[in-house]
Amino acid sequence: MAEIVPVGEVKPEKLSEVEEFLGISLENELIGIPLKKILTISKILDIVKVPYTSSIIVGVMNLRGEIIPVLSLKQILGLSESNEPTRIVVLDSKHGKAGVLVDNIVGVVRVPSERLEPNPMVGRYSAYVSHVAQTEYGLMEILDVDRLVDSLVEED
Amino acid sequence: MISDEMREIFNEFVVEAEENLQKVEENLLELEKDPQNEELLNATFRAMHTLKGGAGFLGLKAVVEVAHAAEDVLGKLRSGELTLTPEINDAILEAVDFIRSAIQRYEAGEDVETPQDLVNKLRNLEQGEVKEEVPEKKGESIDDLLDRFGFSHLKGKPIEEILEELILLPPDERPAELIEALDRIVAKGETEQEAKQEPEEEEEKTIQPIAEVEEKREEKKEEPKREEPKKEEKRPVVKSEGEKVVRIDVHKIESLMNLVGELVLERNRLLRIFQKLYDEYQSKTVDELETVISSLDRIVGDLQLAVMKTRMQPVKRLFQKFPRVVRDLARMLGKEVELVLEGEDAEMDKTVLEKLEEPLIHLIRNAVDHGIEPPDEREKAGKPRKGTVKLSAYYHGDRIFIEVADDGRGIDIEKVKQKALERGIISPDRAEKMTEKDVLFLIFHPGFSTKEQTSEVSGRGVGMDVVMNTVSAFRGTIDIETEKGKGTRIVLSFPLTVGIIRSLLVSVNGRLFAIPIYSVLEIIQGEDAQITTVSGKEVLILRELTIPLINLGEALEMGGGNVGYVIVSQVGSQKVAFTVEDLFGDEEVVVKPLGKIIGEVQGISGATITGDGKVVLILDLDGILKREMRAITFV
Repeated sequence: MAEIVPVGEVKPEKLSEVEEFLGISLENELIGIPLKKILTISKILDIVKVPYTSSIIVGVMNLRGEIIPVLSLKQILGLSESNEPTRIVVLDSKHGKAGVLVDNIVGVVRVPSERLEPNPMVGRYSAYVSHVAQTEYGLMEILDVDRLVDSLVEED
Repeated sequence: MISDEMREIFNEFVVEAEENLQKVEENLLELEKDPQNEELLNATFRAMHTLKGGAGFLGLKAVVEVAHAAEDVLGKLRSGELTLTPEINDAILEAVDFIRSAIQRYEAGEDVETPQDLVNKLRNLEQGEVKEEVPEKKGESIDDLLDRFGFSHLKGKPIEEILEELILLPPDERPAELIEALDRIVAKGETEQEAKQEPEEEEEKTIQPIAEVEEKREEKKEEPKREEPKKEEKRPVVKSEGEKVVRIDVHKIESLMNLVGELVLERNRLLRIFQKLYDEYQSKTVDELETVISSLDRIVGDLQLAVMKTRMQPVKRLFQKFPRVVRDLARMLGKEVELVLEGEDAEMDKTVLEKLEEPLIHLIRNAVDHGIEPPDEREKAGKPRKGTVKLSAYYHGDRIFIEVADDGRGIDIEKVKQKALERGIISPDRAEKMTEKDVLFLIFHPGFSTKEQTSEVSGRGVGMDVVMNTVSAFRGTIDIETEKGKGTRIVLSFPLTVGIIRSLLVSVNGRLFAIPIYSVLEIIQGEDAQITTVSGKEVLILRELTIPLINLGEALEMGGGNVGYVIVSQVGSQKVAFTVEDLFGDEEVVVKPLGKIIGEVQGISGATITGDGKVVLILDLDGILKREMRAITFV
């Protein structure tokens, strides 16, 4: 996995405030998930559909003896679903673990905190993107994991 | 207001206070029958006294004042200056109720005002019938007593302070006889001087820094004890409980349960893998492995059971609330009712136990209100004037049964049927074909009530359907028997363990699902099942009974599919048949919740992981049926 040092000049004293994200690709968009929110990355395991639940919930899977819900990040973010997901990123939230389907893993992306800009977009889907940042791979959208999971729990 | 540093002590106090309040309640009811029972009076007094002490320590003024007034009344009852009358009993019970609600309010961070009316009422009762002075027993002075029990260092302190000190000692070191003797002196002193300012004074003394108390406790432990052997016989229960019981945070037990659950799943996997290994290779090492695995298997099973047991609590905790309910209700309705409790030591899972209070209160209210006849009516029918309601618990197989039985008038089956017809719950056609039991189960139908006007007692807008809902929520069953003029018996049963259920594994459109086996009545081969339609809906005809048939594939929104078998199940109060594709035997499965993100899904009670690592959803037939019914009503 490639480690990308951000472009542009970085002053040495600012290096301590570098934040790390896992860059993933979803329908040609680059999404960054804070590394500290990620428990593990797994292959697509057997996912069992749960009847009577919303389409955001793809199903549940067995991750080392634990039952974990798998969510469709594309639906949550209002993206199309043309590419086939290849990995599940397991997130840790205050409401428990949750897996999200992703198309590809780009790698760990380090961004100095001053390069994080608040998400300029407003709207239903952009509520889950807290910041954006310019990286070597292009514009990365930073996912607000807690907010995303909170909104799912509140819906019930 | 309770400060943060006091929280922990407060929480402990809440638990202890509830125990003491229950003790007072229980004893008072017992005393109604046996007002002279000194031992009970003493125990009641002590319970109230301990409670007052704890409340004083925490500065819960309203509780202290009420408890103090109640304690004084109890003190006079004990010394024989007062005799227990229903009024006194009511007033003390009222005090118990107030303290209970006050503690809740304190807990919620509210301030509580002293209910002056209640305190006055208690004070008046206390002053009420002061009998002639009873000469002081043996005439021992406080100092003599302290010397005799080895607490000479407390000499010279105010008597209330000495008492508090003694009460704060660990239960097994508490010199009960000394406390009693001192209490007697206090009670006397008070009647003599009618000291009114005393409550405030005492409160001040009891609110002392915790550290100081702890210190004193420590000090005392080191001193040699001279305990009377007689004492030990008198309070053996208190003593042993103090030593053997440890309070543990429920979360800790829950995480232990989860770990054991996972261990069980891994064991199942191991067993399966070993079976394959055994089939493929034959060697001495494999044989050795077998002995290890089988003993591991046994140990895991035992461990699972042991952890389950930590969640079990005696039903006594629940049952002891009901004598009060029955008493109050009987008095209100002008009936004579005795509540008999049986099998109070039977244990069941804590979570189920807690949720059972409401339904049981409902059943008991029904028994007293609708079941038991007024005394005169009973006499005419040749029954004893006093009716009996029996609440019992017992085990059978892997389930616990809880039974509410009364010797009242029984349920009038014809009346139930008429009512159900009037309310349009059943059609005249169906009424014809129904068995007595089917009719009886109609009382669990939402909104059903056989009494013409719902009385204040059993009414309140909740029906027996609430009982049914709670019971189904914990995979329980309900049975009802009644005989006109003889009485009614309602039996609830619950699985002993909540975490593990024996399930039937079935497939629907190629996918595996688990159905809890307790709800399965019988299984019929698809080709043998007599299926027809009634108003466009499929039904199963089974021994002249028409049972609604649900295609499980369609119900689960996965499309029809083959009908290999029909499963007839008891869902709540009715029979329902479900079609499935194939059967894969039964298995004990560990229920795992779907987690907060998915939340509660009606129709799915959780999931489990099979020995080969597959996730299988556990179906909740009751929920699926409810979904289906809703679909019918709204389409």
